[in-house]
Amino acid sequence: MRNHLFLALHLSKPELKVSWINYIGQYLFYSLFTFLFIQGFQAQESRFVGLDLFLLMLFVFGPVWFRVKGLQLQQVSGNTWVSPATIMGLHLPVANRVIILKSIIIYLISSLPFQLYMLIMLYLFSPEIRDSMSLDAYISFVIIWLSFGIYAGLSVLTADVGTNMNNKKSTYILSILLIASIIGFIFFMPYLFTYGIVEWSIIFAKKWSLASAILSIMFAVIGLHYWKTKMLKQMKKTDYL
Amino acid sequence: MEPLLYIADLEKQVMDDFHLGPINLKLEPGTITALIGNNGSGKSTLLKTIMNLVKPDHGNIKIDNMFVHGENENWKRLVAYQPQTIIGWDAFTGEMLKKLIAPLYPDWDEALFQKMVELFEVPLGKKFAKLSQGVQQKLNLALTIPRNAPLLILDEPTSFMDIPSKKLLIDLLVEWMESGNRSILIASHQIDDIKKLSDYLFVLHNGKMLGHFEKEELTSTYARYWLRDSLSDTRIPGEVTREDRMIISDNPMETEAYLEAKGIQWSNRSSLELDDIITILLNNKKM
Repeated sequence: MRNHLFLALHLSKPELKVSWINYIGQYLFYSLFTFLFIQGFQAQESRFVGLDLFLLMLFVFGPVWFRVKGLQLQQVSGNTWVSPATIMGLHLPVANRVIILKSIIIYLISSLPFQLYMLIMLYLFSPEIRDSMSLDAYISFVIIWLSFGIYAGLSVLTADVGTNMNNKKSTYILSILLIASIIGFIFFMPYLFTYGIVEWSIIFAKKWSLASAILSIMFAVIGLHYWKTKMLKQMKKTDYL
Repeated sequence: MEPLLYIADLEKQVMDDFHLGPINLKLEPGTITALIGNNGSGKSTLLKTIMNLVKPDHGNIKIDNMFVHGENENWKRLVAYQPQTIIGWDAFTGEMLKKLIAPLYPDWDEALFQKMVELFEVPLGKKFAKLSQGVQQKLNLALTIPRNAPLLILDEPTSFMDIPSKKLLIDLLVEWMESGNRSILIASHQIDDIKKLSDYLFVLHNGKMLGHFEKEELTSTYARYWLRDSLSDTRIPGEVTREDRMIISDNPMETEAYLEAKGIQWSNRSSLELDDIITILLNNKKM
């Protein structure tokens, strides 16, 4: 395992080296959203309605939006999409687990520091947030969301290790329907359940700070293990033609 | 001797319109095998299957007695693979790629790498994406051959290279083979590569294996005859093709015995060039 980690860090180095300018762009992007969230919170008098989708997108897709051009998902054959970095790893004398571990390391480096920066800035610059949550509750809120970034965010890495997509019309239609349902649910949640996802996470953080934080960390650990195993299985059956 | 690469009954269906195999192949250490075939014959697919980039539907591949599609991935250390299309290198410079690749191979030959970079005039400070296709290919080779893995797999290594560089590469590969019990499997359309480098030819046609031939034996198998008189329509034993009074045979002994028995004389007999033989094999028909 230690050897795997060492090799994964070795594979990560060149990617990190060429990504620094994109990380500056990502920092500015998160700063912009921090400003928008503070304004939204202020305008809605400490409510967070309609902004859930943006926060969720930032915690799931934010880290992959700013990838270097040569490392973005690529179609390598008729129906296979994969991260070029995965293909490069597959040509090297490293185990598939190492390639997956490297993807996770890069994802976490591209997500956690920026998300943490945003959450700290929100607390420092929004009196409404400070008024609505004690420091304990806010730490729990931060853990809930950083953990979400791990157990939900890592799902995007399954695309990195490659998928042999089928080009059937029904698959496209089902995918679009699924995405539309998720967006619809997130959008209409405040009308159906009084509060949206972010507001519910604030309630949980305030009422059950410790339990919410512990559960979230557990989800993050389980999620990490689940996605690692899923990616490994996917690699075993994908044809990189 | 235990084969370095062993392929048995390998089959793979790709999409709905292409079937590779069944393929059977053994590569002994110390040999160079040229993988030959028409366009779309499945050469790259076969090499990718050896590298576990493509999963077979049927059959086995072993490298140094380790199953390529099994749990043990230690076989990867024994192979250096140069793909036809390089994916994933665009964002990096040659120097960055060298720092990434070299430490992964215990037998990395830094002197050879430097020699190849110098010979091929590869700029190591430029991003891979900014290099011409020929220079990309040269850099790829400079980062593949010095790995000194026992099995070197090259997929069309010279397709974009200039003529002097092709010659340099052939010399380098010949020299590289002298150093030990290494094997090369090289997919190529370049007849010079095949003639100068290969000991064996493995021929594929539309996914099907046509044969695994020893090069010298193959060239001695074919002969061309110019006959003194016109021929009847009767097929001559060993005849592969005929044109007016010229026939090509893949079994000169049988052909000559027949001609002598029938009292048919020939004015000249010559052996065939390797490219003519490959053409006959790939056309897969009696010309």
